[in-house]
Amino acid sequence: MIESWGRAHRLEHQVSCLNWRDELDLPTLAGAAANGHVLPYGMGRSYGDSCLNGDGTLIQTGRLDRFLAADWTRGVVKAEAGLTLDSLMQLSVPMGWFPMIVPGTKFVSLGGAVANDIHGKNHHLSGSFGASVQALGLLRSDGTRLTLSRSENQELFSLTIGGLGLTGLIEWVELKMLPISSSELEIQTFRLDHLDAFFEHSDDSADWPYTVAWVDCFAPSRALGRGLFSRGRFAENGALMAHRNRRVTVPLEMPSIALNRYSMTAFNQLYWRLSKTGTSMRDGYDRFFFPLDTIGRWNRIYGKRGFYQHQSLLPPDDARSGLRALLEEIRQSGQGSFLAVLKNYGPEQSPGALSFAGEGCSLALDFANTGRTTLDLLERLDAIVAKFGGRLYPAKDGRMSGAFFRASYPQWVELEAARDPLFSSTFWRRVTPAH
Amino acid sequence: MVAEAGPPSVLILGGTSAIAGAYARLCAQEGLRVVLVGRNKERLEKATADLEVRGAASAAFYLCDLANTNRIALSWEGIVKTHGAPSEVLLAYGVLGDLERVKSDADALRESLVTNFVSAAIWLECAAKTLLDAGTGRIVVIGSVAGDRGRQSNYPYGAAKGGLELYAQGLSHRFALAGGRVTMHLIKPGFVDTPMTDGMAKNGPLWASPDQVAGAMRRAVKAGRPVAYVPRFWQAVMMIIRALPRFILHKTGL
Repeated sequence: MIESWGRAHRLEHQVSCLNWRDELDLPTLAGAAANGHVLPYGMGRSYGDSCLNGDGTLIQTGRLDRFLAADWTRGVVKAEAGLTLDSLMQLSVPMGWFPMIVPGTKFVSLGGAVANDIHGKNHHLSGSFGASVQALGLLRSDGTRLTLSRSENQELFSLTIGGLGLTGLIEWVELKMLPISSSELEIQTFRLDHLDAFFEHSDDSADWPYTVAWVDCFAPSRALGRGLFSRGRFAENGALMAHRNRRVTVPLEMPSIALNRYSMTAFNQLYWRLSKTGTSMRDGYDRFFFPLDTIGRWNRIYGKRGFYQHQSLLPPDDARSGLRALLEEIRQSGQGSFLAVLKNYGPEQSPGALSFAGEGCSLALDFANTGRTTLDLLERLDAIVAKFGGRLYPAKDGRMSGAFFRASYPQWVELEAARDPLFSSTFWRRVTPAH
Repeated sequence: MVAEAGPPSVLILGGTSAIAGAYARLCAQEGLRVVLVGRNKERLEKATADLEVRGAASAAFYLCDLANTNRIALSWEGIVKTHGAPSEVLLAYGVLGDLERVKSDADALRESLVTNFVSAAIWLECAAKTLLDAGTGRIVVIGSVAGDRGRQSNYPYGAAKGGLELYAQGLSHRFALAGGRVTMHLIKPGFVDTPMTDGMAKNGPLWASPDQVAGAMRRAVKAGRPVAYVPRFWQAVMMIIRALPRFILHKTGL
């Protein structure tokens, strides 16, 4: 039984641990699976069912974590797909290099970062992960090994970036890194009184490489969108210190009652009120980019039924009214999200064909799974996103309708055509017609 | 070519095993020279490339079949000639083997004992001689908690590892009489999540990752501990298992 990060999906799998690339026999692994399909599985940080392959085989890539080459003068690293950003930064930060794009956790594999074309706080300037990928190696189930890049097998390159692991097994990734002179960032935080303030601060911060906002979903209607806006940039001088992994772990799943609307309302209000506006500070990259990584298995705080994430992207022109509609719907439902994250995105620079990120505004929410009421709310949110011409992030989804997915990602047809016939996922079977 | 003087060099017998791989990375991070010995060229190439990126002063490999007892002396000579005398030797290879098969097939049993004990003892003698001649160095041997008491669930493996422990003990005595500048460190891991144990259910608090085990090993070696259980709680667990009266042990499935 394997569960994804949201813990609302637990499915039976055959599991195969991959140690060395030469031992990989995809047809045999697929043949051993009840459903005849395999899916690569890295760190399992996708929230819904895109990293699962119920009744099929999961090929765990965690032991494929070797560096193949590193050029610390040009900042180019080539490594096997199971290497995590955590391990990469341990080595690269003291050398003065940082991944160009990091998500909200460092516990993701390079293969997963490519397959989901992950994004981070610098999307408005730097695009998503694929923008930093120079080349990658793909193994197809017919035994062919391909090198994909902007000049070689271009089409498969763009379908593999954001291709949800379906085009074959990503064996290695070659990345361009970002030069840094310090492992610390200068960080400024502002209090947002309402949604318009978010847009003002985003516009003001266009030249800040990292921006993000936290929104209080429990705020009353007149203060809709109140929250905190933070922006950061790497300091120009200081030590180059890799992070240290010291952390506490949530030892067991908490009773689901622990996070109720009253405790969350109180917490959010307190958090907002205690934050001063215009504060500046310096902090290490670990706390700025990966605050939740200090709490191991934080996904257990939602109790045994787990939780759903809902991350949408709204096109720039209608973003303001779309966000207002989403926040109003959530407020009325009373099922507020504990962690609501708002961010403006820039024009996409990644070659990924099915990338989630793109120009506009993104709102990420999580909701404890209370069954039908949660799913109903999420469907109403989907309808709003669809109405404003937006889309959802597959890495965080476990329930959107196939029709909505296919309408908002029309390139799914190309991915289906390029999909390795022995690769599939629970997500893909759910959102595409039978195959 | 004899490697020029530089940082200490660590020679790893069984360079593609999971615990050895994690240990080699720690040595690489310390900027040491690392030489891996094994028989799979493609994997050794990948492992050494990784060690170089991770900071090894140099990373090289030597190809041979570690369990081929007829060629060990020759291989050792080749290793020392090519890469110089090591300052540390880690004996890290071994096979768990399929218990049912080993019990019923004499060839499989012999192969298992030769790999886990006979060949290992021969390598240790070669290493001991070179290090004693050099007058300094250390040998690290990966034993197992399975070697602490004969139990029906793994005695062919346990007996070989237990024998290896006695062998290491004897060498350690010899090193002490020779002045104590060559040292012996016996490491006894419990359950480790490696390809060797992929057939077992790996839930529960007794399991450790190769990185955790390698970290504990490196600390124990640097602290000069002659025997180290990794993780440490295994020392208590095995004390109890060793102390169990026979009539109780024989009622369990341990």
